[in-house]
This record gives sequence, C-alpha cells and structure tokens, in this order.
Amino acid sequence: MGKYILQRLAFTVVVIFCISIMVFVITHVVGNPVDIMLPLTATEQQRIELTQRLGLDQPLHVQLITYLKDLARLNFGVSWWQRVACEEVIMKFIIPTAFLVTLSCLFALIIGVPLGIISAYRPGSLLDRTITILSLSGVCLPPFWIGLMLMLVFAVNLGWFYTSGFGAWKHLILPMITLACNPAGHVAQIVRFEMLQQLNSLYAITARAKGVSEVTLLFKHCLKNIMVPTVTMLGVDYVALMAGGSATVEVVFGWPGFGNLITGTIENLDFPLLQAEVFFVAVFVCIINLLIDFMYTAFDPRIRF
Amino acid sequence: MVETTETVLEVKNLSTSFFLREGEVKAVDDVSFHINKGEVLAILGESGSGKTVTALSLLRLISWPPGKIKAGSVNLNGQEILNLPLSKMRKLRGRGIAMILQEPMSSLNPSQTIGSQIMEAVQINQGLFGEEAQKKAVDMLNIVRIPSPEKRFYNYPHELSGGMKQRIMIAIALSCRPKLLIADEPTCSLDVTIQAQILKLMKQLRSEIDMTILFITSDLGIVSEMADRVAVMYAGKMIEITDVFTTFEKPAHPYTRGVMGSIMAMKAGGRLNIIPGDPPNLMNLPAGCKFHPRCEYCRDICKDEEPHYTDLNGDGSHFVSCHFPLGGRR
Amino acid sequence: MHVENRPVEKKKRTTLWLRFRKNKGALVSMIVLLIILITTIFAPFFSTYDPGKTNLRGRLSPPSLAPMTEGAAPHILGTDQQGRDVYSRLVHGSRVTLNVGITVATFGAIIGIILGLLAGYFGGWTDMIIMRIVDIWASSPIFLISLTFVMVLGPGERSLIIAFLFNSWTLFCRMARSQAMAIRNSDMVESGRAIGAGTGRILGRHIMTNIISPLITTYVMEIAHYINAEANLSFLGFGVQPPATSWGLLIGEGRTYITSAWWIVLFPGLMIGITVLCLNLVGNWVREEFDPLSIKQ
Repeated sequence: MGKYILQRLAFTVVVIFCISIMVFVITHVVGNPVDIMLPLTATEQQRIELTQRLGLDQPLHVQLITYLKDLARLNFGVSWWQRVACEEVIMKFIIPTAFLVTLSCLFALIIGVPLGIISAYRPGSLLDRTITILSLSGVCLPPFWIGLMLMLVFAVNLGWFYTSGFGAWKHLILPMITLACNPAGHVAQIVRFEMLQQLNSLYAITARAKGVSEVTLLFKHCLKNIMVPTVTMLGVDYVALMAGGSATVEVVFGWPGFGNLITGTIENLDFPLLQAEVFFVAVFVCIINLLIDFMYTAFDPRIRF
Repeated sequence: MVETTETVLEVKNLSTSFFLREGEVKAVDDVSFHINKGEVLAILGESGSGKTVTALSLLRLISWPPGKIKAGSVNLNGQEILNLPLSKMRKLRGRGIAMILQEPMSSLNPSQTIGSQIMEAVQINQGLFGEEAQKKAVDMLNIVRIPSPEKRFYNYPHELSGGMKQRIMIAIALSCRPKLLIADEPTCSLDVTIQAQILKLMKQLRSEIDMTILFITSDLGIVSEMADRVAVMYAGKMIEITDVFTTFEKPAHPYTRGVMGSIMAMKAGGRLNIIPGDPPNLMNLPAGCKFHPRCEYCRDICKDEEPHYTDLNGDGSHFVSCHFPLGGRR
Repeated sequence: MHVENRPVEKKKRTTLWLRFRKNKGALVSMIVLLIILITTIFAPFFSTYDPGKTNLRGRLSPPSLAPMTEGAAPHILGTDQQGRDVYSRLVHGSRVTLNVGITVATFGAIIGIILGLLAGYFGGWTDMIIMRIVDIWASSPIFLISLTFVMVLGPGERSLIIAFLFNSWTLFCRMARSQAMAIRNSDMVESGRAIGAGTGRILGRHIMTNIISPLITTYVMEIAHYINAEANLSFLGFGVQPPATSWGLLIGEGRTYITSAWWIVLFPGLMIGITVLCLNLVGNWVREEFDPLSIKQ
C-alpha cells in the first residue's frame, strides 16, 4: 500500500516535471512571449525593455532553470491580467467549478446507472432503443449547444431558471444538467454494456439456478461488479471537465469558474497564470486518479495494493 | 426394502435451438428421458453434443436471443415446467432443480464472500434468515469437507483453489435441497487428484443424503463409478438409454459400441478402435441418422430416414435410436 | 492459386455488403456522412447565397420558404445578425470542421501506428520509452496544452490542427501496440519467421491485416472526437476567425441573439450532433462486425 502510493507520487512528480517543461518549450521556443504581448506597432525600445523585464535575454537553459526553481518553490508569480498572485486567482475560480462539476457528475451517475440497467434488463426492446438514442445524443451533441437550448426553453421562454450568473439554486440547475449530459450518456452506455456481460456470465447462471430473481441478480450481484469500469469512466469525465472541459458551458451560463478563467487567460495572454493553471490541473488529475484507484478496492476484493 | 420407482423427472421431445446469423443450430433435438427417484442418470457425450444445453433447458436458463426451447415437455414431480409463468419457474429453480456448473473458477460471484453466496441459497430455498441461515451455511461448508469453515465463510472466491471452489458450488447446490441435482461435468476443469476427491465427496454425499442426480460427463470412468443408468447423446440427439452394465457390456448403438470398444480394446491390450471420421458440425448436419457418415454398419435407409426411438426389450429398460441396433433384431 | 481464391473473396464481400444493408443505423449514417461530405466539397454549388454577403435590412429573419424579394432564393434556415443566409453559412462552415477532424485523425493515426508498432514489436527499451511518453500524455491536461498552442501561435485553423495533433497520436499508439503485442508471439508470425519473412514484411503484412478493424473504428471515433473539440474551441473564439466560419463559431456568434433568433444556434448544433452521431454509429458497426469477441445477434 505505502509502496504503491510512493510509486504513484513519484510518477506524479515526473509527470508534472515533464508537463512543465512541455509548457516552457511551447511558450519560449515555439513562440516568443514578447511578440505576442506587444502590439505590432511597438518600438524596438519597448521590445528590448520587455525582454529584459521578463528575463528573456538570458540563455534558454538559464531561463529554464529559473522557471523550474520557481515552480519547485511553488512560486508562480503574479498574474498579468488579474494583478494578484496566480495561486490566489486559481483558488478563487476553482471552487465554483469544483462545486458545479462534482454535482454534475453525481447527477450523471444518478441518471446514467438506472438508465443503463433498464436498457440491459430488456436488450433490444423499445425502451432500450430509446435509452440508447438518448445516451448517444448526450455524448454526441456539443454541451454548449445543449446549454443554449435548455436556456432558451427553460430560462427564456418558461422563466423557471436564471439565464446566467452565480449564487442561487436557480443559477445552478441548468449548467448542472448541461454538464451532466455527456458523462450521463457515457455512464449509461458502459453500464448497459457491462451489465449485459455480467448477466450472461457463469456466476449469473449459478445465481439463477439457486432461485435468485432477476432483480436481485441485477442489484445484489451484478451492480457491484460493474462499478469498477463505471467509476473509471466517470473519473475520466470528471477530470476532463475540471481541467477546462467545463469552459464552454461556463461561458454560456456566465459561471465564474475555472473554465471562464482559462478563456480569459488565453484572451489576455497571461503566461504566468497559464503556467500555474497547468501545474494545478496536473496535480489535481493525479490526485483524482489516485483516489479512483483506491475506490476500486471497495468494489473488487481482488484488487489490493 | 421394496422401493416403488417414482419418476422425478420426465422429459419428452425436448428441442432447443440457437438462432444465429449463420442459421439455426439444433443443439438439442427431440430428446426424451426420465429419471427415477434416488438414481443417478449420466448423460454421456462428446463436447458439443448438447449435454449442457439439455441441462440448462431443464432450468429454462436458455437466454433469448439467441437460444430458444422450441418444443417438448419437462415434467418435474408431476408438474409441467415449460409453460410455468416466470415467477413460479423461479421458485422451482433451486428447491426443484439445482445445478453445479462445470467451470468453478468463474461460476462464483467474485465480489461476494462465499459465505454470503451459500447463505443466499439457504435464505431463498429454506426460508431461514440471519444467524440461523449463517449457521446452516457453515454446516454446509462442513458437509462438503472445507477445513475451518468459520474462517472460510468470509473468504472471497479468488482466495480459494479450484477444488475448494467446486466444493462451494456443491454446497450452494445442496443448500437448495433440490429434488433433482444437475452436475454438469463438475470435475472436468480440475486436475486428477482433485477430481478424485470431488467424486469421492459426491459419492459420500449421495449415500448420506438420498439424492436424485443428473450427471453430465464425457468421461467413461466417471460414468462407471457414479451412474445407475446412462443416456448417450450425439449431435443433439439422445441415441441410447439403458442401465450402466448394458451400456458397457452390450451397447446397441454403433456409436456407443465404438466408444466402449475403444476402452475395451485398450484394456485387452488390443489396438485402439477409434471411431472413424470427425464429430459432426451442428451447423450442417447430415440427413437421416446423424451418425451415418461415421457408422460402419451404415445402409441406404440410414442416409435418408431418421431412426425412431425404439424400446428394445419392450419393458422400458433399453431405448435406442438406430435402424439396425446391435445384438437385437436385425 | 490466386485465381482459385477470387470467388471466395467475392462471396465474402457480398455477404458483408448484405449485412451492412441489414444494419439500418449504419447504412443511414453512411449515407448522411456521404451527403455531408459532398455538400462540403461542392459547397459553392449547394449554397444559395454568398456566405459572407450581408443584408442589414433582412437581418434576423426567421426560417421561411418564401423569398424575401421577388426572384431571390428563400432563406430556408433564416438569416443571422448581419442578414447573412444561415443555410449557406452552414454549408460553407463544414469545411473547417471536417478538415480539422480528418487531418488530425489521419496524421495522428500515421504517427501513432508507427510508434505503437515499433513499441509493440520490439518491446524492451523502445516500448518502455514510448509507453512512458504515452502515460505522461494521458495524465496531462490536454485541453490546457491545446490552448497554450493556440495562445502562442494565435487562433486559427492551423493552430487547432497542431494543438490537436499533439494529442491525437496517443490513442492510435496504444491500440497499435496492444495489437502488435498480441500478434507478436502468435503462431502466425512465428511461421512467418520460420519461412524467412523479414521483420518489415512481418510488420507490414501480418500485423497490419489484423489491426485494420480496430484501426478503422478508432479512426472514425477520433474524427468525431476532434470535430467536437474543434466546435468547442471555435465556440470560445480560439478557432478559425471571421469572416471565415465553422459550425462551432456559428453557434458562438449567434449565442448573443439566442432570445430573438434561435435558428442561428439551433441548426449548426444539430449538424455537429448529427455528424458526430453518424460517425459513432459507423464506428460501432465496424467494431461489432469485425470483432470476433463481440456479441452477435
């Protein structure tokens, strides 16, 4: 157990190191910050000043070492756009997103698992086909478009919810449902697929042969066995939404979260903030993956670390 | 002690097919047999001859699609089960017919303790709950000779060996207190010493508890050791049913004789008498008698006309499905 | 020998075609995708208006079959905030969307398969290094790194393709590697070696024929994935820039007018959804049809 965690942590450090270098290379070798930050009409004097101020006149390896040293000290610098320390900005924006995305994924689980089970219970039936089409739509339609359509119907025409903003539950419902569509579709698909496999397995025949009813078989025997792939799938979606996947939906609903922050970062060409964001997200991804690994042990007694 | 022979199970003209994209596969075709109370009927046949499908059909555990029980009647203790509503059928599984599957490795739920899986059978079929059920389950572990059952009760299947898992499967089946126990090649995936242990256990259990067993196997040794009567299957057909002695000594069907002959010849030190040809492809069965391409006694009628099921001695002790049964009327 | 084989192959192909026709979902999807592809290639022929032509007097007019002025084509899907014909913009907008999806998937497949086959076939250090890189990619925030490219290179079609290519090879690499690993030690390759086939030949012939079905599935699914990704970034304004357009950008531009002109947003979204859905259905069909392990009915 301890050894496993240590291994994972070591891998996490390597990953973050590599990603940091990757971002450095992209920003300093592929492109030049000075060109991007200054308008085309800037004078040569301005360019030199900025180059010196950013330390870009030093050799590349010196820049890289300074950059890595700052990262190791968790010193991300000040955001050019927000004019406060980068970690403060990120903390302020990541909480609303974590709240929204977590709720969405829970909602997706609550919707997706029953739909998948109903689908698998009578494969090929009308209900199954309807659910299959629904989950495919959830996966295929772009989320921002779903958001706009929901907004048009439920906020603009019916007036049940607010169109945009943050604070009340009337702000929360629509973005939550919108973000849940994609993971709910994935969950329903994987639950159906895995459930069908479980229902055709030998242990299901054993259970039926001893008189277990189909419903008991589904919930008592099979449900636990499909949790590992389901949680894996949901974990991938959760991480993707937290790492910027929620951006379009946040923009649609004016949700003051991480996705909106990333959009702003790119529009304002805020290099220090972008580097800090990449760092935070990488750490976050690794932590979530570790948590998911531990969740496996709860569902499958064969998995031990 | 005079025993009245009471029929537990009576199967008539059972046909089960699988409808695949390539066409219909008649896995079980027009099969009839019966089992008396307290006896062991062995179904003997090579793999793919329809033994397991017959067993699953008796429990109505053929899943549609692609499988379907097309016709026939299955009568358990005077009750027709093929047209029972599903809810009643479910109650019949377990306490009516229980089954031990051939693959102990994957026939137990990997995410539940073996104790809870035995307890479930006890709860459903004996109506016991809580501590009583648990006590009963531990008893069952004792009965199938699992060492330190109180501790093993909390083990997961992956923590047990193959032989142990098969004992658990037997314990689950016995916990149902079935009128008929189907054992589908319960030893075929185990190694030889474990096989012997499991067979010994089953024989002991049979003498301890008065059980009616349908024993499915492809192993002649097991047949001679366990069975009272033998039913031989070939290509989805039941071709010969008689008591175990007649099967070994005076088989009437050329196929049975071929199978027995290979053993006899080996024992006598003679040449191994192998049945020529390959087992038939179920997708593309020959017309007439299904065995005719491999039969050394084959005549023209065998190629065109399917043989009827005939009672050789007229007293129901020896059924054979052949135009020219050996040792009988020619 | 070749002559003998031919009739068998032909028979196989016809049954395949029959089965394809039987699967209505896949058949309809294929036809829809073909229609989309043809309208994209011959966009000027299918569009009724110049997609950039503004008409401020006729702005935000709803879909209608009646022409606005005598003799002009009707705005069947309405007009946008500058009076441009939504239908014509839709027909022209698919070019960027499809181009990004197909280019990224194609080059990703080429790079990924080469690396994956090398890793799977040679094993050892080659495998170690390539798969470690894939692992690191899998745990990195791809969306943010794509955006970093966009920020550095400036928004546009080229930046999107480079940013997506950065990631798209990994899936193909994994797939090709696992297939190569499975086949590497199988009898087929052994016998190939025994009769003296060279390494290149083994890789080329034996392995490629076996990975062709998972490859097609992955390829089709990846096109769908990157069409969605392109829509996302274009919607945020990081993709192709006006006056050029793509389906995602159409939604992004129309979003402000959602309360008064729903049609600007509705149709591009539907087109993205339909395209991605059809690609998914075709991909699933390929997987089920050629995968011997999948459950067939």
